Amino acid sequence: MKILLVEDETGLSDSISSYLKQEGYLCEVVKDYKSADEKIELYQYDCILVDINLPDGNGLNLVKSLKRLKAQAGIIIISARNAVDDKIEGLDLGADDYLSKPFSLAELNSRIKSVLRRRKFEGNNEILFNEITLKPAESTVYVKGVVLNLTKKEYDLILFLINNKNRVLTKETIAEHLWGDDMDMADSYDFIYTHIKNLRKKLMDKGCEDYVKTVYGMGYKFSAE
Amino acid sequence: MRLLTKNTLILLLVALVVFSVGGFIFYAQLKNIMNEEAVEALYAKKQEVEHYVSNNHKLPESVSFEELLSFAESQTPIDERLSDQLIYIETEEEELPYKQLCFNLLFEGKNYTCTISTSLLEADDLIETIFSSFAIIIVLLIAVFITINFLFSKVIWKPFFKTLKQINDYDIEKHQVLTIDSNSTKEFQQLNEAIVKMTQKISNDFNNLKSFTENASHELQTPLAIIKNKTEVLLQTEGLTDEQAKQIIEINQTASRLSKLNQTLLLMSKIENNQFSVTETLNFTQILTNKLKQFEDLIEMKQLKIISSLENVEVNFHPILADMIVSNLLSNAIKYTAEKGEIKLELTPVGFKISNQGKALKAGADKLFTRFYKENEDATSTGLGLALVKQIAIINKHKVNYEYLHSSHTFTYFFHD
Repeated sequence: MKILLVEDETGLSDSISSYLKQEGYLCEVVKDYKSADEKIELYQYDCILVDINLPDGNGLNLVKSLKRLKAQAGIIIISARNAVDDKIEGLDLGADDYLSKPFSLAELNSRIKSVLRRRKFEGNNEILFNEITLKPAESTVYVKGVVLNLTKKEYDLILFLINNKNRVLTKETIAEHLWGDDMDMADSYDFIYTHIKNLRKKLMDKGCEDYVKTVYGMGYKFSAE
Repeated sequence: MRLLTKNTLILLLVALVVFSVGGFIFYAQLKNIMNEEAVEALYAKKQEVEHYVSNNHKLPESVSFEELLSFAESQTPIDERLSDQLIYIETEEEELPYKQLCFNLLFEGKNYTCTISTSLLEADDLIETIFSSFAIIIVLLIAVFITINFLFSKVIWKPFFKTLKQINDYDIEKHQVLTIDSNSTKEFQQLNEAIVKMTQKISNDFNNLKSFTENASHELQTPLAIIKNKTEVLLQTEGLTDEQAKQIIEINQTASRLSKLNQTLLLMSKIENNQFSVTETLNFTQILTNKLKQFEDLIEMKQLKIISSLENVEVNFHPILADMIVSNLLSNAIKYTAEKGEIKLELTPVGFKISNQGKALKAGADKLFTRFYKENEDATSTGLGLALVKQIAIINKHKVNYEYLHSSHTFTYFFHD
């Protein structure tokens, strides 16, 4: 999978590209509008991450160029603005998703995966993790071929965990993914624990191993080790 | 006081002074002329009498009406003298003013004192008539002047009031340039030019400041994103001690908090600048139920009991702002209610009320809505939530109230002021 990252902040592009490389993607980084425009004319990418504010242009114009080229790449806009108008304009132009800074790398990773799934497999693929099979098209989870009854939140949770498997996810990151911005008003993220506990129980009831690991003082990790 | 009234009053005052002084001078001069006329008439009479005597060699007969003429013998010739006299006239039964001329007449070797009098009554009458006509003309003149002033001031001041209306209607948020029609009055033209220039400057400054605030806020988000992402990468490092992990998570959370604070401040300045002035009809009941659903997990975790009585209410509101007040007030209630406590929600067309049990505030209720006020030293709170609610209420001409009764905190948001 080839990803093009258009971001002028080195600090940010370094973290993102190293994270994505660990995930097994081929990640190319460009720092300005001009080189990004050249790249998309010449090469094919599976997903393009575009910052709106570039030193020499507006990232939204790259979205326009991609649409003009009828590129198959998924597009995720990264912006320092969380302004509603920017969001709507970007999505109207044909971007697949929108992330406002600051965002967590786990969240970005999860968004890239779902964009790729929609684009590449039209949602008809399966995510496998040992005896667990996720079918995003029908939002269902199977353990050893048997359907697992999950609530919407539990499904979102297991998808997020598996998308970011083998990584420590803080409670905050999980809460933000599942509940959005509103939940930062809660004084603790303890309410996540209930959902983790329920999910873990349902998985183990179906004879699954305990993959949801609690990392003390940090958060949770979905891992077979 | 209106300019027109002020103008008219000054005009009246000046007219009164000018006309009373002028009238007095006019009167005095008129009187003087009349006097001189009377004196001339008396001297003419004197010549006539002397002529008569030298021609006819006898004294003319005394006349007792109009121009009185009398003769009296005297031992010595008298000096000629002119005097004003009041003479009692029987028919009129009163004393009337007369001008008198006494002179010596030599007739047949004897001295006679001849007295000629002429009535000043007619002259007085004339003066009175002239003076009163004069007064009537003045009053008429003033009346006409004031009427014209009132009538024409509407026409003359029309461009001024038009400009005034345009200034009143001017809204800096609408980014329109104020265009004022030119007009023939030089002063108004100058005023209009000055206003157009001023509004252009204000508009430029406003936009500069606004984009500066927004850009500064946005620029802050990128370094915060870097901090957050770097800590996230750091957290994946093998062999971190608990203490190290805790520190890293704290850095991460603080960066989140800073970002949240920044976003809220940006939002508040946007609200202040009326960037959310467009409203639409919203089903407020729906907003509340959706929010309750969103907070379901928190409510369940604290085992809170929600008692709600929600009427079906539609309000004109900006959707983001409506969401924000509900979100802030509800999360506030959830946060400050003890486990297994109760939260009461009530929605009527007048407004909505949210109350929860809890300890009394340490500070006064008036402090509650101020920026950065925190009831507790709570690291997760920005201290801006209620200030934001208040701000939203103000720009929408709504009202938000807080009261503490029977150990229950109640916030009421009214859809009117």
